Amino acid sequence: MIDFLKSVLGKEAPGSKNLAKERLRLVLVHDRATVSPHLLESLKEDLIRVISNYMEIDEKTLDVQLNREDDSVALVANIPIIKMKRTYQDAKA
Amino acid sequence: MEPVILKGNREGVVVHLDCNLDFNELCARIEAKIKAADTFLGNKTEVIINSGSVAFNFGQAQQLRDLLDSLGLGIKKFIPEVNNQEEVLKDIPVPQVVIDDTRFLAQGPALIIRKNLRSGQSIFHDGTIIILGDVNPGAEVIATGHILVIGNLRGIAHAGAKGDTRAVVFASRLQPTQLRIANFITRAPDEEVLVPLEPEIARIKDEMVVIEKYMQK
Amino acid sequence: MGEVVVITSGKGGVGKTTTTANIGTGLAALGKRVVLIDTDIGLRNLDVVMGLENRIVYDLVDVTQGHCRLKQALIKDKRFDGLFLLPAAQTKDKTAVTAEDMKKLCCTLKEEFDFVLVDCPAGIEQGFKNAIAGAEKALIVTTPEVSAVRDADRIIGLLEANNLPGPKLIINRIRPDMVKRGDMMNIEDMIDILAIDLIGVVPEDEYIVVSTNKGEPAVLDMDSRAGQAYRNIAKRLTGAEVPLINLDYEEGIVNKLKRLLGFKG
Repeated sequence: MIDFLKSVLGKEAPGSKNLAKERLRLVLVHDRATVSPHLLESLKEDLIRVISNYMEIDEKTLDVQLNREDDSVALVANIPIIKMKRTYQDAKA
Repeated sequence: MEPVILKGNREGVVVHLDCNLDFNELCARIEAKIKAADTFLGNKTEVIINSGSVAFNFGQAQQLRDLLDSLGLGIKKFIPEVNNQEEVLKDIPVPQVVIDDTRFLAQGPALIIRKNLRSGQSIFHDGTIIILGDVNPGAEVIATGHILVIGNLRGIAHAGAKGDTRAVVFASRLQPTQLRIANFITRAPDEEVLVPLEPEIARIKDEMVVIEKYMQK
Repeated sequence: MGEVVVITSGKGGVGKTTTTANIGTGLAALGKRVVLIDTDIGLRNLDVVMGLENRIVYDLVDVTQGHCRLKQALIKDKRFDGLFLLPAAQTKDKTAVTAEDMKKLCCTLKEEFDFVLVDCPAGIEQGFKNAIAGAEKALIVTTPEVSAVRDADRIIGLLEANNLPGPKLIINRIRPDMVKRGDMMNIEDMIDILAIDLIGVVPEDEYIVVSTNKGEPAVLDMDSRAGQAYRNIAKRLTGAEVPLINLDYEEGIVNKLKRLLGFKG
């Protein structure tokens, strides 16, 4: 009844479409991430290249993965640092 | 040999039957025998029916159960077991009826199918096909001989598939998507047509597929 | 030289076959020479939607296995001389057709036709691979539902991986009243998510059921709203620019009242 009143008064009428869109957005992040298994591999290579400009890292134990939870997907990288570089090379130099 | 013999063994009372006798006659003899042995058999005794090498069909078994029940007895089991499968076929007069008609002269052994053919199913037989059931749209029946459908024919039927123009297609309700006999093809008209109310038969007449009522002589 | 267009969706029941029949008929009505190929072996339906089921003698499998000539298997439409159907096999083994077969077939057909429309089966198995094998363009049918859009997204990815980029989207069975209420995703929502070009929006229309019952594609009915949408898609496929039809046909209650009260003609 309250819902009905709310919708009549036009105050809080979200409809289900926004819910649909949000669920779809999430599910597609999952789907697209699993569709391309190469994605993580190439992301890892890029990360190593960029980070190596600043610090020495342990490439062997470097771990990059997508963590999927119910309502979010997060990129989690665990990158052990061996040594900080005293001076960093400017990538453009 | 006595057609009905009562014997007792470890399992109980066994009724040995001689199945050379007509079934109804046999039933009468069983009744007489059991009535005579009334005092010997207790009430509600479950007996074993041994019919030697002949298996009773489902209908006969039921008749025997009813008979013994009326005599205050039960049946524990049948030796050999009752044949549940084949009885239907024996009672169906279709093959005999059609063989009387010269239009159904046999062309090789007939294949009898007792089920509905559904979309996507296809039957081929070198000879005549008899279907006791419906042929739905999307199903096809191909025979080098005749096709007889005791049911609705709504799918595709191809009789005389190797070119025999004498082949016919019979159906209780003949409303096929497409009908082929030998090298002739007809299809259902595009407009809606009335459902045929009586069996019809299709055959080749003067280089054309004609459909006529089966009953007209 | 014509073009080969596959109509696909991933999910079943979103209207691939209806779409194929209507766009094909629409193109034929514009004077194009069109052939429709049903690749859903074992579950053919395009013949019924087109009302041609009683004319089938040979089918796709007969053609690929050389049981008949291609010309013999093409069924001429009842309404248009330039419209043909190559039906799927219903009773044969579905592994009988290969992607290579389809490629060859599409190549041969596009020599003679302006449009070769391939109706794809649901799913992403061999049937899908066959259907897209000879295609140069793809139309993706979806409905405004989470499941259908998700599958459409998967299909778009697979098409890209199979060198069939730039598919166009058809949003089918949209209900303007529900969109208005906020209970159905709107066109922008879906385009936003799928990020592909739109080629048409087809409103939900009861007439589609009637037309399928009759075997007469809705595109031929001038009163059918879905038919109008399909006519527009057909025109867009020929390269014409046609604006989207206004789906907002439901009158607002205020306007309705005004009209009832005689304020507005």
